[in-house]
Amino acid sequence: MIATLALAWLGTAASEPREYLCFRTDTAPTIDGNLSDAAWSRAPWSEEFVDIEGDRRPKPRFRTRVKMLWDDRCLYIGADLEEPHVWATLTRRDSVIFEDNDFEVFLDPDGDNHRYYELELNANNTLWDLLLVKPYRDGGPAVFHWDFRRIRTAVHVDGTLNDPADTDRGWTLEIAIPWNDLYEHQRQLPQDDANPPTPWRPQEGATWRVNFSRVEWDATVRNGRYAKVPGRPEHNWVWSPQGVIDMHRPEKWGYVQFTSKSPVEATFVPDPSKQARQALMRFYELSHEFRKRHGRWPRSAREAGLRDARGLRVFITPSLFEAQLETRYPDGSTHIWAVTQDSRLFEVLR
Amino acid sequence: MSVLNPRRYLCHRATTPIRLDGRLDDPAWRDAPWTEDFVDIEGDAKPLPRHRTRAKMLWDDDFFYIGAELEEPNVWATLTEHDSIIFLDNDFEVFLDPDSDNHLYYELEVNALNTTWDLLLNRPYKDGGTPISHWEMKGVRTAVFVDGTLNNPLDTDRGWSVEIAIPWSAIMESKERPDALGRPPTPWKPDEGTTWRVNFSRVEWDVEVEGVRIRKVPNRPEHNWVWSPQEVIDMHRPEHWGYVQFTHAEPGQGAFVDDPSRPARAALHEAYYALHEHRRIHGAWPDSLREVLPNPGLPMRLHTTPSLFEVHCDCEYEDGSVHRWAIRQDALVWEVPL
Repeated sequence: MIATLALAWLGTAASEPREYLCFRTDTAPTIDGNLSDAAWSRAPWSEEFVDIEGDRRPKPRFRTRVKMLWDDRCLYIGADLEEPHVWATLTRRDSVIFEDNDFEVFLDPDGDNHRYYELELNANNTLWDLLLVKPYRDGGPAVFHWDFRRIRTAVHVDGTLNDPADTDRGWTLEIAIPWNDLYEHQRQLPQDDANPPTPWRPQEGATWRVNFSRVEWDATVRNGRYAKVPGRPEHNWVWSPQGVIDMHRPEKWGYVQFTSKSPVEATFVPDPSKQARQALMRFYELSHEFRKRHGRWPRSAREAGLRDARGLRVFITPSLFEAQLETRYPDGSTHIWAVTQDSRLFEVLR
Repeated sequence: MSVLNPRRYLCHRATTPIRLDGRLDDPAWRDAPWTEDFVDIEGDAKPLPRHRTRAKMLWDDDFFYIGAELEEPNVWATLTEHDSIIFLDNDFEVFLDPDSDNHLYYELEVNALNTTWDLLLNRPYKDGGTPISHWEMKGVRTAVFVDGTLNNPLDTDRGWSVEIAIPWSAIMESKERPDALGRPPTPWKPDEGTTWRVNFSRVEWDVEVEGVRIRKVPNRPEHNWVWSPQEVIDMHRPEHWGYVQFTHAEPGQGAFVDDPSRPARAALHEAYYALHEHRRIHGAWPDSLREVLPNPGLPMRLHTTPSLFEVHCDCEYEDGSVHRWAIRQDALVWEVPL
């Protein structure tokens, strides 16, 4: 039991979420799959993707990296996927795209672990887009019939698609997501049907939780065509390591901060609630493990097995819990953050 | 004692095909019973609507069918773009909560131009719900027939009728869940006795004729006429919606089986509203339910945290079995396994 817990600890504490400063662009990139636009030259590359489980696993055999930009209308994402054998089969929107090799985007604009967006794209430029009301672990559901309304995506294959006779260099893709496509996260959410939200875009310093994932299947050539090697699980290569094979843990995703400042002036401002969030999410995980073993919630951080969270207050009912933690920000102010049994993170306003 | 007495409707199978043209003249519709005439959203507290509205429902292996008839001397509509705020015109609205838990429910609005707005609510607005407007009721078919002339104030119309066919495959979020890998669920359809919470609403604006145009009288609120009265001007209280029970029995046969949890649901919703009212005034939940509900309809137990609560209510069914039902601060209702 202790060994299991220790391993779980390693898994959760091993890696910090990535950080990316997303610059504003005056000229929108042309969405043609090619990252040669002048606009992209201003955007830094992300770290190279690593295995979804992080340092415990070997580095991916092919390089993947992304760039982001934004303007008044859209969030722009560009990705570069090294790949000697570019293939894709699915052509119908909202197919289960990760059955092919794919590139995936996860967006949680308010960082509360709930109501987040997912999109998957294969080398055919076939899209699957969905909204998660809550993570699967908390009951979901995934809203498959949700659509990005005016999203634009494009793929450029540097090589030949579905042709195993040669060796490809890879594929690149561009995605433009209009802010208004993220209707559910308008800052002024409607109080009723009659008051729809007004158009919006992120404010200076707005920080989202974002991750990217690349699904890569072991493939072989059969009868002159690419075919997946049967019985092999997929590889998952990601920007911000999840620690476990589960993308649906938004608390592990990277931080993307939007700025209008120039790359010289701008610096990434770390999330001042990060330590509190991490302690609360550790308590969340331990509480659910405790409930599996004992049939009830732990009554305290200590009972849950969380030792380094002094001041964490626990409130339980038969099916719900709420844990609160006071934390001090760099400016000296104190804030109370909380998590509930369904992994929703929120600041308690006093 | 709380009042929670929603309408009930036994929904029979369509035995012959329904042609979606807005007219309820298909043979299948003939045998389907009408609902009660619609009443004001506030119920008996308000006068009866000045124009009659009523609906019929049917189902088959692929679709849930709704037919509605709206008496209307001046049929008008302006909105033509999908997902506009349709109730800014006169409209007909459908609300569906398949698992009767107050969360994850569907809304569809249609005007006399057959323009639609479909959305999914993760929970009611009063509970911080998000209108998921970019959700699409995939495969839904709607049709409108105007018995008279559209947008012509020079004559008197008889009204308009609506036909809606909702594929079962469009309603997946509140039933079958995707597997752990996120693969979508397989389509399903109701079993004998499956019961949904459903309501219909008709929004009617006071209008005046200006030349050859019909326009809304400025600064007048809309009328809301509904099938199952909501008691307050808020459609987003699914606990008041009607019960629609699907059956294979022939029209005229079969009997509606009442929801045995209804007394528990009534008591739990009474507690829910009393607890929220207390928090609104005092900024916190009360220490005990007795403080806010001295004479509950059934015995209940309150559990709280600073921002959450759950109330449990034991309820004896007619067969003598005891069931425990619960409600949360966000109005989710569920049965607690005993």
